[in-house]
Amino acid sequence: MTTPPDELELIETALRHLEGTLSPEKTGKMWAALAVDPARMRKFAALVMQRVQLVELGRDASVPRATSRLTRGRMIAGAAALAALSAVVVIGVRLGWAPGPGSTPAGTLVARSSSEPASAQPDPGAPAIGAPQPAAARIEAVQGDVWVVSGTARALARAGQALTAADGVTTGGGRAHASLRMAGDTRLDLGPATIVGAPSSTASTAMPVLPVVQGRIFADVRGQPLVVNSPLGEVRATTTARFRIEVRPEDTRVEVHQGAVRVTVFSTGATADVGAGALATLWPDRDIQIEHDEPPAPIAFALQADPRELSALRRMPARLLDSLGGWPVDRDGLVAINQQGFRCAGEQRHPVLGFVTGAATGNRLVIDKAWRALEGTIKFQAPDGSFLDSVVCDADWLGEVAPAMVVLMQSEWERPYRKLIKALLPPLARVAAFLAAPAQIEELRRADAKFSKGYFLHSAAFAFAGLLTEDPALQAFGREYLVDGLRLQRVDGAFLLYDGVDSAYQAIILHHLAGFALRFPDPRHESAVRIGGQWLMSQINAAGDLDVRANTRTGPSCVPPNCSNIDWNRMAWGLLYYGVDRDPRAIELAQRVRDRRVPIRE
Amino acid sequence: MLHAYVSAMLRDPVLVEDTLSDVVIEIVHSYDRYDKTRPFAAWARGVARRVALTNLRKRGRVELGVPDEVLEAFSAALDGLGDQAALESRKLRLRECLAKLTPANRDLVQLRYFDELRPELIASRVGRKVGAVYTAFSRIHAALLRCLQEGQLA
Repeated sequence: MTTPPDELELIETALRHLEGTLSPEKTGKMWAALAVDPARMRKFAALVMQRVQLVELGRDASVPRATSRLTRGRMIAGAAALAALSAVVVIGVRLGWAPGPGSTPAGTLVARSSSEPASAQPDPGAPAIGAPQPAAARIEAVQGDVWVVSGTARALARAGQALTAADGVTTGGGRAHASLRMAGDTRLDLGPATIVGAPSSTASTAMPVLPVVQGRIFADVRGQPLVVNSPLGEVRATTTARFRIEVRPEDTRVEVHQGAVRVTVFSTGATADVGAGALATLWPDRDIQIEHDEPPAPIAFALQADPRELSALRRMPARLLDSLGGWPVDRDGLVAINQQGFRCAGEQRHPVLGFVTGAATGNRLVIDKAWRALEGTIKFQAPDGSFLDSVVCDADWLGEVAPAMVVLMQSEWERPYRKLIKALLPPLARVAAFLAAPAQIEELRRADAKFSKGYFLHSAAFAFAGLLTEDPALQAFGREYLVDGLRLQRVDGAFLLYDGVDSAYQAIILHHLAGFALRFPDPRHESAVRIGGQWLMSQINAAGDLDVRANTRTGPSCVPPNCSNIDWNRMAWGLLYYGVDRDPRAIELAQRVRDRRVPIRE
Repeated sequence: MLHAYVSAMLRDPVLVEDTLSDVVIEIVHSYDRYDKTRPFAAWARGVARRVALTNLRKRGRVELGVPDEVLEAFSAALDGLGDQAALESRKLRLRECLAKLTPANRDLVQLRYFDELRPELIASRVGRKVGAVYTAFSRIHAALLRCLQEGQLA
């Protein structure tokens, strides 16, 4: 079906209007034409909304820019908004709008500026006014652009910095992220483009109040209660709770991961208790909407609060990622040699990359296909956790599945796939436990000593499985296992593999190592990625041809067609993971290398 | 919703961003003047229109030449797209629709909406005339609108 020409003309005119390039005369004509044709007006509205949502998708994807999206004007505006919202909080407290657990808000309190007289009288039974106390908050970690804003002044935030009651915090776009620690061990994680005030408290209630103007915050409330205020309402956590709050001009959304909170809409006084797994949406003029679901896996909260893997992926070219996620899977969920009878779980790992690309680009089809491959594998799991194949096969599979699951759980797809994800975690834990037994470790070490790629894939298996199952010992073992692989790096950056080097496997190693370094930062990991990446880049010419002459595994020759002995998709993954935030040339080369598939050989 | 409303009125992306921040402040400041018997969205749009006009004047720009009744009709059309939950669902579907575009069109979307490049710059990047870029975007948006409506791209 094609679009009628007059509709295309409307869209083009509207686009020119929205880009600001349509003349005033034509703009007037456009509005006049829309005014008399409701169907065209609806189409125009849909187009305007579509453009807004495309920009939002881009921003959700955390695409980096040379400058932050928060302009100077917005920074000042944000600071002013903070001041306004702080005034709301103070007045709210003055009017008794900080009732204890179980009580109802005092009347239908509305927000007002402190410069205006309050028309409502304080509830005689309300607690005495308490002056804001010095905030008990400290910036624990920052990433990307994060500022502390006081009045209209701002300064770059730094880890360890204490926040006073006059300080707000704003985060920029891209990978910006800040972690705040409050008294009682409560932790707040601020996502990109977020504006908050410093938590203050009153002497009377001793309940910290965090004003949020816009953005996304993950609150892990421990030790003492917390109230989070948006312009529309409040979220009150009086017991241990984990929740996400997303504040936008029109609404405030609260998703509870653990415990329970009480939400209140200021304008109506409506309240609701929101339990684990539920998502509440607050509007100023409508009933609170609550969507119920089972609680997510416990680790989902921490992964979503700090989605560094997903954020990095969304800084890679979406089109290229899209081309890297597909893999033929039959209706039983089996791939390659397993289609003739299940032989190796490791073969099943390739389509699992669909979780990664699908989560990053929004392609649900590849996610579904990856699930099919996953379920096709799990049904072959034996009671001891293995797949009754070789230890290397099992470890290969886990090394791909565990990091991929981390990405999926960070994305908006966690909620629709929640049941499946939770059902997958016990089998993952079983295979990890099987592999961590001394006999299996010994076997892995023997194999990886020659085919050194295994050190990196298998360390990821242990560490990421430990992350998903919240097993610190397994994570520590994964880090320890990696050290043996790092020892195989030469001073020029090349990793030894079969007593030599291999440019194709260098990329594969970098893929796993850079992914590992992202989640488990360590100067040794970062240094190894950098010099390893530089060596790889030295093996690729400007056209994107790969030098294979010294390759010990893939060999100096090329198997036609397209050198099928080299996994060009994996080459691209390696360049992408090395390149993101380190070397933009590698990102460009990733596409070229994958498309050309040309080796430099004898 | 407010973003769509303001962007249709103002067009300049930086001015749109700044105006949205100002709207948040203004909503907080004037919340006690909001008549809670009336829909919040309509009131918020009224605030947005007032703030947009103020910002235009501050920057010495021509005032909005759009009659109130036309903006009302536009608002009603926006409301017709559904509530916030429906819009969220629409956005998720939009992401799926994007995945169905041709690679070349995906690239254009990436440049315009993810990298936020102006059409003129995109034209120079891809070696096409500006008019051709607009035509391409018209087709892309038409395809995405169809995809949202029908659940598939033609």
